[in-house]
Amino acid sequence: MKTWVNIFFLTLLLPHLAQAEVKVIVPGQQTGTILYSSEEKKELTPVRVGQWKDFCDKLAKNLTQSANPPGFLSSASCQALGVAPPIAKADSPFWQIQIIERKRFFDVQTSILTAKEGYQKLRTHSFKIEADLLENFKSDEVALAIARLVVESIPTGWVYTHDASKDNFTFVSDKGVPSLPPDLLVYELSYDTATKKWMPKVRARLKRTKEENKLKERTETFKVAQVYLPLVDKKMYWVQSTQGLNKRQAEFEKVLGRNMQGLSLLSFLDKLILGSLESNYAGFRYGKSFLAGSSIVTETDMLSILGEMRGGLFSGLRIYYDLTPEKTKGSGDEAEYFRMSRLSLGWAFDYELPSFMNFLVSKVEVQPKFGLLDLKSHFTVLDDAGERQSLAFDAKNIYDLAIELGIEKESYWFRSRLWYSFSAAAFGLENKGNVSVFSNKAGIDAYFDFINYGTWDINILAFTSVERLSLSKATTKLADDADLGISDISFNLFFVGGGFTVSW
Amino acid sequence: MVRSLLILISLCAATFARAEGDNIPDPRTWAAGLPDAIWTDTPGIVRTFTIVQLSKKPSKKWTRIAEKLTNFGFLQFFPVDASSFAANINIMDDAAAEKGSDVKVDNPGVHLILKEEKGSKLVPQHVTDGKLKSFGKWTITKPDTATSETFYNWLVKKMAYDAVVLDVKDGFILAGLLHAKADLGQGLLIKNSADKQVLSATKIKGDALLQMLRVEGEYAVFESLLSNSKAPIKPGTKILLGQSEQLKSMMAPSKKGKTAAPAAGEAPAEAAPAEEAPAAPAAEAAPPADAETSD
Repeated sequence: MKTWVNIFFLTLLLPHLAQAEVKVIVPGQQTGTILYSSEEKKELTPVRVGQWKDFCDKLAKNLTQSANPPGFLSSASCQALGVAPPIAKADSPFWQIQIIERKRFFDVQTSILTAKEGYQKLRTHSFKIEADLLENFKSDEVALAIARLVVESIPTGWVYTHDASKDNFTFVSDKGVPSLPPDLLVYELSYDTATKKWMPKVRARLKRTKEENKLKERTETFKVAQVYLPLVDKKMYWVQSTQGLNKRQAEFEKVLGRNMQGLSLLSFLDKLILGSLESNYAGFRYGKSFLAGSSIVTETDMLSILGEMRGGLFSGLRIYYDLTPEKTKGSGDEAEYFRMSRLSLGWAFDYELPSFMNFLVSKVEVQPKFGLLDLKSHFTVLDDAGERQSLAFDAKNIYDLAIELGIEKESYWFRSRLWYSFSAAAFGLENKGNVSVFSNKAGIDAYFDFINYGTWDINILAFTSVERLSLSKATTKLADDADLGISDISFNLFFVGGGFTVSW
Repeated sequence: MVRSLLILISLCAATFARAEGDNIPDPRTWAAGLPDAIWTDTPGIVRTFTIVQLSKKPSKKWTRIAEKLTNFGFLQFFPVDASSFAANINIMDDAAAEKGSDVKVDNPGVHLILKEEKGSKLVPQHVTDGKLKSFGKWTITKPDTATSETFYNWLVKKMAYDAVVLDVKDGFILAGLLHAKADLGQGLLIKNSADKQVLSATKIKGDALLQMLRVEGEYAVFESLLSNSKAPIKPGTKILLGQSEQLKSMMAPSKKGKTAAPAAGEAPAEAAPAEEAPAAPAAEAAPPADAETSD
C-alpha cells in the first residue's frame, strides 16, 4: 500500500521535475521585439504610426549590443502599431519591451519568453505624463534614457566583449544621459526554470578610471580591475552595476523629465493609487433610515447596485440602481406607503488637481446623469386647516435628469468620495398624474481594500446620504376646494449603511 | 641545526633545478586557462574576499583599504557580498524592492569575509563546514595600522601560508602568491593543507621542497626538488616561501633554543601594534612541539 502511495506521489512530481531546466542566457544570442499598446485604443492616425516608428527604431538601436554603450539584444525588431505581435520561437529566450499607454500614466515593461514559462514580466517602470505620449517620444535622449533604464534594471545587464589585448576600453555616449555606473561586475548568467531564479557566475570586475565630457559626448574609460575567474578573449559576457539592478531610476527620470512634458516617475504606491483611480467597481450596498418621527419615510431602507467604469474603453460610465422597497403603515384611508426606485446612467468627467493639493483631494468629478424613476407613495398629512388629507404620488418611468459633483481622495488602501447631486424628474410616458420629483442629495462614500486576488480587489463600502425630496403633482381644479388641495410635499431621507464592491 | 640543514639541501637542489626558459610554462597564461572548477570548487583555494559592514551608514574607509589589498597579490577584493549581488538581480517585483529583498540565492562566490565590528575592528572569517569561523581581529588605533599594506601583511600572517597550488602538470606546479613577487625563491609544500582555507601556524609540517622557476606577479611556477610523499599534489595545497615572514617566524629560535612557531594567541613580532589576540579556537592552541617544520 505504502509503495503505491509513493508511486502516486512520484507520478505527481515527475512532470514537474522533468520541466526543471537551467537555461543559460547567452550574450549575443538574445532577440526581442518592441511593442506599443494603448488602453484607451487611440486612433491609429498616420502621424501616430510615424511617431511610434521613429521612436521605436531609436530605442531598438540603443538596446542592441552594437550600440555604444551596448544594449543586451543581438537584434531588436519594432512592432508596427495595430499589428499583432509575432509568435516567438520557444526554443530560445525571446524578449519583449512593451510601452503601454494608460489613461494617466504609461509603463515601460520588460518581459522574457521562455519555452516552459511563457512570458514572464521582469520589470515595469511607470511614469505619469501630462501630454500625449507619442508626441513626447521625439527626442533622441528619451530613447537612449529608456534603453539605459531597461538594461540597468534586468538581470542580463548589457553585453561586454572581453579584449585581452587592451588594458582599457572606452564607451562613448550622449552627454544628456547619465554616465554608466562606475563599478561593474562581469558575469555569465543562467535561469533556473524550477526555482525561477537568475544565477550569475561572476568572473571579473570593471572599474571606471576616467570620464571626459565634451560638448555633446561623454567618453568613459574602464579597466578590468579584478579577475575572479579567467576571461576568454573576444568572448561576450553580461555586465551590470555592482550595486545591482534598477538603482538609478531617479537619474533617468531627470533626463526624461527634461524631454517629456509633465513627466514624473511613479513609485510603487503612486502606481497603486493611480491604478485604483482607474479601477472599475461593481458593488452592492444597503442603507437604513436613521430619521426619527412618525412618517412612513422614517421606516424606509435603501438597496443599491452600482457599477463605475474608471478605466478602459468605457472609462467614465456610471450605472446606479437605487431601490427604496415599499413600506406600508396603517390601513384604510390612513394607510401610508412609500416605494421609490431610480435607475441612472451617467458619465463622469474628472479633473486631477495639482500635486500640492493631492494630500487633501485627488480629483474632482462632474457627472451628468439620466435616469428613470418609479414612485409609488401615499401620505396622510395635515392641511392648513388642521384637517387630515390624503395625498398620493404615483408615477412610473418618469425621466430623471441629474448633475452630480464629487471630490475624491485616494490612497493605496482606501478611496473616499464626497458628493452632491441635484435631480429633476418630470414627464414620462407613464406619468399620468404629472408627478415631478426634485431632489437635493449629498453623501459620503468610503471604500476600503479588504481582500486582494491578483488584479481583483474586494472592498468594504461604508456610506451615508441625506436627501431632500420634493414631490409635486398637478391638481384637479375644483371650484369649492381648490384652495384646500395639497399638491406638493417635501421630506428628508437619511440613510447610513454599508456594502461591498469588487474592483478590477 | 634544522635551519642549516635546510639551507644546505636547498643549495644542492637548486643546482639541479631546471634552467629558466626550459619550456617552463607562463604562469599567467596557465592560470587564465584553468577550468572554472579549480577556482570555484576547490575548497582550499581562497581567491576572493569582501567586506561586510553592518552599520546603516557604512564607512568607506574599509573599502578604501580593501581596494588596495588587491594590488598585493593573489587575493582579490569582491566589492559586494556575492550572494547579495545574486539576490539583487533576482528582485523583479516592485513591491519587493520597496520593502527590501528577502530573496535567498545560494551563490557563495566569496571565500573570505572581513566583517566590520564596532571600534574600527575588522574580523576575518572563512567558511568551514558551512559555518563562518573567525581567525583574528584587526583594530585601527594608530595611523600605521590603517594602511592597506600593514593590514595585508597581518592578514597573510593569520592565514599562515604564502602561496596556494592551483594546478599540477608535466612536473610543474602552478601557484598563486599572496604577495606578488618578481624574484625567484624556494618554498615548502605544507602537508595535508589542500582542503584548508586557513592554516594554524603551530600545526604546519612540510611535505616537499619546491623551487620557483618562473614568476609573474601573483602567479608562479614551481617544481618539486625533494618530497616526503609520492602522492600527487592536490590543488589547494599551501606553500610557505623561503624568505617569507611566515617561514622566518617559524624558523626563529625559541627561548629554549628550539625552532618553534609562536603559540596561537601570541601576537607575532611583525604584527601591527594594535592587533588583538586572535580568536583562534582553543583546539588550535597546540603546544610548540607541533610547530616544527619538516626537513
